[in-house]
Amino acid sequence: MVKERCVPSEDPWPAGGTDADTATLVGEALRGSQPAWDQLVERFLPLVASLMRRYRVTGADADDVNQTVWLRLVEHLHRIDDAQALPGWIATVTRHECFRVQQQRGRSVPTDPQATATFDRPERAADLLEELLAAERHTALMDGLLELPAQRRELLLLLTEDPPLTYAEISRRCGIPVGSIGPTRARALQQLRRTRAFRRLTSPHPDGSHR
Amino acid sequence: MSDLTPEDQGVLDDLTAATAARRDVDPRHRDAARAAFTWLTVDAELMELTYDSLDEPSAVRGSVGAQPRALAFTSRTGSLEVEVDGDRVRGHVVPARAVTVVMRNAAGEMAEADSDEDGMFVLMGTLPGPVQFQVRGDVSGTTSWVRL
Repeated sequence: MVKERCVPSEDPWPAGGTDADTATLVGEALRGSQPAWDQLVERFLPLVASLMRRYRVTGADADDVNQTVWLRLVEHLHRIDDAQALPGWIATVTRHECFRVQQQRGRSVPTDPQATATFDRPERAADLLEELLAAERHTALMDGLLELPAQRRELLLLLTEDPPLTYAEISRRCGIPVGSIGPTRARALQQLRRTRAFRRLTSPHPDGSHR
Repeated sequence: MSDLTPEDQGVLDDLTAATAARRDVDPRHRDAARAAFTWLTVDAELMELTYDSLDEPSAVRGSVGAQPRALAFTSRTGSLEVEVDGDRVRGHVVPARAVTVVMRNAAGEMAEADSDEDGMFVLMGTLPGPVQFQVRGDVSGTTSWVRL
């Protein structure tokens, strides 16, 4: 299987969003590859950031929680047997550190009668599951984008700009006539839905869906 | 603009959320995450965090702040217990040995203390950011990273 590892420099998100699979990146990082580690960071940092937002951990506390999560991952990396479990591991460590910050700051922690069980089986906690599913979907979409021809990828990215760009601006930036943006957008989205990355996401999960 | 099918619109909405999530990342967090990689070691004897007073339910801990933060780390050869007391970190190693304990943060700042023959030590001062402890001597190992 060919792994696309290079991201064109004009892509608007920093190095990352390749479709090299997580297991490959973990293996390369363990052999000392900083670029592989950086790609793991790009892949999972949005998950860490969204969990910190969810638990309202900000400022210096967020800096510390974030740093702790990544240092823990470095320390834990050689024990990752199943790359599929990595997002769940990162999410669990992040949430746990957020809870500790809340305890330390004297903020109430949402009481969960099954708190212990929740830490044991993080993937069953509703709040984590929600973030994990969103993160998994986002990663698959970003990976899927890399399977598209450059012009279609560029168009879709311009369409997701915030604040939204005018069609004239989009036309100028990606060289598609204004009148063709609509049809090209529809074709690009259909193609995105047919990419390997996206189909992997929508194929049934081996151990069932939401639990 | 031509209408999209609900499926295509859903994908475009998700894509918008995905790119937003990536743009919303604090660059400082990215830098810190990347820099963490310099701490990759394969040979360290890891002393894992086995107790953290912050994990106790508030009802057990009593009023917030009344109890000092206490942590315990364990490896196959022994354990390290520490307690944060203002700007000092007191602790002891088990089994009791005279060892050197080094506390360091990811920036490489360090504090160091020798334990007495009962394994007791006091580190003067704390460090910013998450730290790890290194025990050097008959009992040895490096702890998980913790935010004090």
